[in-house]
Amino acid sequence: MIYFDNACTSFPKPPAVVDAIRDYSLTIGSSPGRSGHRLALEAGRLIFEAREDLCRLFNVPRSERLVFTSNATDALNLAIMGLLTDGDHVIVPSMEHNSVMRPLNYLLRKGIIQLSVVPCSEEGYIDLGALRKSIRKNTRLIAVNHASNVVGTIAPLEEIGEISGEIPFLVDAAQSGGAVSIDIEAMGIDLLAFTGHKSLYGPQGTGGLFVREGIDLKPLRRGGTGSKSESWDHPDFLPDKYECGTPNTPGIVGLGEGVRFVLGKGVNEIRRYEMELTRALLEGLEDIEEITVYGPGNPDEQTATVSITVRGREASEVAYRLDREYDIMTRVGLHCNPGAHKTIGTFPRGTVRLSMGYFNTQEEVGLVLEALRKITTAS
Amino acid sequence: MRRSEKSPRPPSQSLRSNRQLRLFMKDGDSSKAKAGERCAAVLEAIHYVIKGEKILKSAGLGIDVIPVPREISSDCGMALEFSCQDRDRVEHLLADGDITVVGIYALRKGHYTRL
Repeated sequence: MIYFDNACTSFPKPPAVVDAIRDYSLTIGSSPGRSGHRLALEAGRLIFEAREDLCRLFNVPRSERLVFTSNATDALNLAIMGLLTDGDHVIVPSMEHNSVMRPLNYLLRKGIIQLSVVPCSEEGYIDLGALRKSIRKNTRLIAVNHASNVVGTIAPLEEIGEISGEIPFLVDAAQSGGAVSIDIEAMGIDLLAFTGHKSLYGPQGTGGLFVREGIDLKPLRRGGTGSKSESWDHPDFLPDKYECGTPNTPGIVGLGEGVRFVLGKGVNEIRRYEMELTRALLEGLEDIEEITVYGPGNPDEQTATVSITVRGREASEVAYRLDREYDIMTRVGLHCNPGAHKTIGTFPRGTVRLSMGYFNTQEEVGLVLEALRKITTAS
Repeated sequence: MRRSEKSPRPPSQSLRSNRQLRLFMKDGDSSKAKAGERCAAVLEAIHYVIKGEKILKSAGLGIDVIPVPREISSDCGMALEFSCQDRDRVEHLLADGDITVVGIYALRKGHYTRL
């Protein structure tokens, strides 16, 4: 079996991630920050360490500014719905995922916000001049996908951070956290939403949001935190302000271990390895006449995610045959991102997305190319 | 080694000595903290307790994490326990670590008194 669907969720997970979840479940199991016993304290420590290690990865100086959520969508909702108020203007590129576009579109339709969608090129590059020109007096948020989930295009965050100036800059790092270097200080990021189950190698149901000091988000949920229990007022300090209810402790424990896996390998080494895979895949695809490759077509400017279509064949047929005849898992369709497909010219039929991760090999790239050659030439 | 690979820690020594202190301490009327007196710092949330514990331990202070005593708060959290002699240092180190101290208490006559 060849798994080329890592942009959806990474598979397999490092054994240490599975071991950590198992060990927690068998020897600790407690809820952190509630009861006062040693096991509860130990659970609290594991969450603390996961938070600290994520901050190491993203260069967040104060770890309480990074809060856990159940996924990137949850984090993006907290950032968007918690920040924006009546009359605010928001700027997004045309490549944004539904996890950003749906909350924004909801606010737009309610008449709460104004929205500017900045065009991107067919390869997914943002028009920075247009971005700059879209800024208004009431612009309250610039939200950008760090790496496209459809074609892998990496956005120039440092330049956008510079352009955004005092305007809060929200980055959706679902596809990049762990795979591409992220430095919230160097890139001027004010809100960083990430997921745990992709290139951070944690389990599903984990994610988080970094919130820069000075940015006050309205919490979307209120409830038990284990702190200030004597009061009906929800705590106003982080991380408790945005983390209520029993957390996904086993998930966060696994995520912490996934982050340590990434820190141990080094993001640059992971990136180098995935660029080699991407280069080999792109070079091989170029030789198959019937295949069209979307996105930058350059491993330096994209993640290990490549979208293709095959002349004369539906994307769904190609993906189905890859799965059933060649045991290759890919993702077909619109990838929760109609905006990106409209931008690259593949709406509404979609593409076959081949997305690799650190556990894929050059040999697997060769086998995928061979399978595609056979599918394209078969009658 | 990761914490998750370890089994839970054995019962803390000072939790037991804390109970002994409650039993045997007789004096403690003076407003100034006395040598050997134990103090407890109550912080906002478990995140800060663990952060504070790391900071104080790496500064070489003999501290412990204890459940917030019932008489201090109805809360269900943990507190940092330390020698009252170290109070100034503890407060400085916690402030340097951007940790808000909700209150500091000294154990006197078997009861915690807010300082």
